[in-house]
Amino acid sequence: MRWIPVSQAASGMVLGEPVLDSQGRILARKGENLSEELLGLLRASGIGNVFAAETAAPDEVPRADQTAGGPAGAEMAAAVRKRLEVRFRRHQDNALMQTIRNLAENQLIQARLSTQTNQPPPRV
Amino acid sequence: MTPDYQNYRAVVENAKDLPKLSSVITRLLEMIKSPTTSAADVGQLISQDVALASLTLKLVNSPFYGFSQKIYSITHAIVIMGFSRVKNLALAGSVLRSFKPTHTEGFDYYGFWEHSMATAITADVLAQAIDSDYSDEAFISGLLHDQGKLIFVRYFPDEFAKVRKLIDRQQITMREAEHQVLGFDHSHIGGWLAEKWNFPEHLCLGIRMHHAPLLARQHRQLIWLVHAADVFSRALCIGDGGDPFIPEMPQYIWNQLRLTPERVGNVFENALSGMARAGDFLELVRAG
Ligand SMILES: [Fe+2]
Ligand SMILES: [Fe+2]
Repeated sequence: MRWIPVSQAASGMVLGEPVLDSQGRILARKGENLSEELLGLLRASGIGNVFAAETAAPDEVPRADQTAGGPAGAEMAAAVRKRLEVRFRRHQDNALMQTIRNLAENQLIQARLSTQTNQPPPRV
Repeated sequence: MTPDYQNYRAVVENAKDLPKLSSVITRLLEMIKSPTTSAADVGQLISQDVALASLTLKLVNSPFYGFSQKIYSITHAIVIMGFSRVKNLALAGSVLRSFKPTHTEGFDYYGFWEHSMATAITADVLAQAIDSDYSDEAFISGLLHDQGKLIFVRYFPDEFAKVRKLIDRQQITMREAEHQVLGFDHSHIGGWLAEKWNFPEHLCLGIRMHHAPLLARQHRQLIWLVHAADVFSRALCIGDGGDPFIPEMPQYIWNQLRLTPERVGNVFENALSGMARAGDFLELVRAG
């Protein structure tokens, strides 16, 4: 973690500590991505320096709604989850790999739901 | 390296029936190493080989790219897509055509190419998402990253049978099993072929280093892209990557590629939709 001027922060880094304004209000939370948007906000609020970290694992990704698409949708979602569980079983304690797993799960379920009605799902 | 490594390499390099690239592609690979070669030179060269030119145009006009107008000539394709992309498409078509289907017990030839295609598309989408300098090279590097497996399966079927058994019994990745049996893995074999075929250096390294991305020294971002695309295409469960697992992506590479969950979610979405439009590429493989 490094104490750096906001001008040197780049998107892709994350906050190593929360950013507070002069009244002690939280402007941004620890772990938040230093996106262009957030950097703009910090600059506008007169923040000069931040604690930036480069190695934090991304936040956990919320998982897709497992019940969309009725019973057929729920069955499909369960099949996708099961499949990914097997594929990722060596990475159960790895936060980054679990993030990737959740992202894949969400996209696969979404793609299947949108093709479910008319076309056969892509071969996997 | 062990003497075994040299022996295996010699077997591959001296194999009489090693897949051959067309003479035009061989010329092309030589030409692009020279800084004085122009886009026009390359366009002219590809156009000379009627079969190669029409194959390239077929891919250019495939739904994968979805251009609104039909593109009739290589010159026109270069104007629309840029010289490097057209050159790499010609190379992709030529390589896809030169491999013959392998019927080895336990090797899913079509699943192999599905995995390769998914890795190509994911690498391409990913490179664009992070605005990489390697945007034109990511697709071909992803497509050929596992080419060593085709050589391995074909020339060393006994070793491959042992590798398959190990994967099942010990629940390990294909690469780990290869290291137990051979002392090296398909990325080395793919690298031998890439060098033999006189591929440009970045492509050789993309193939050779895709399982050792932290050791990359040159063309690092391309190697990281291929590594990430391999992990991602397996996460999306497309095709057959050789084992039912997923290689671990180091946090360092996630950070270096400036990835975020949002970005990767978009990459996944685009990769899935790209895969649904990639039929023309996979047909080349199916036709054998
Ligand atoms: Fe591989
Ligand atoms: Fe792979």
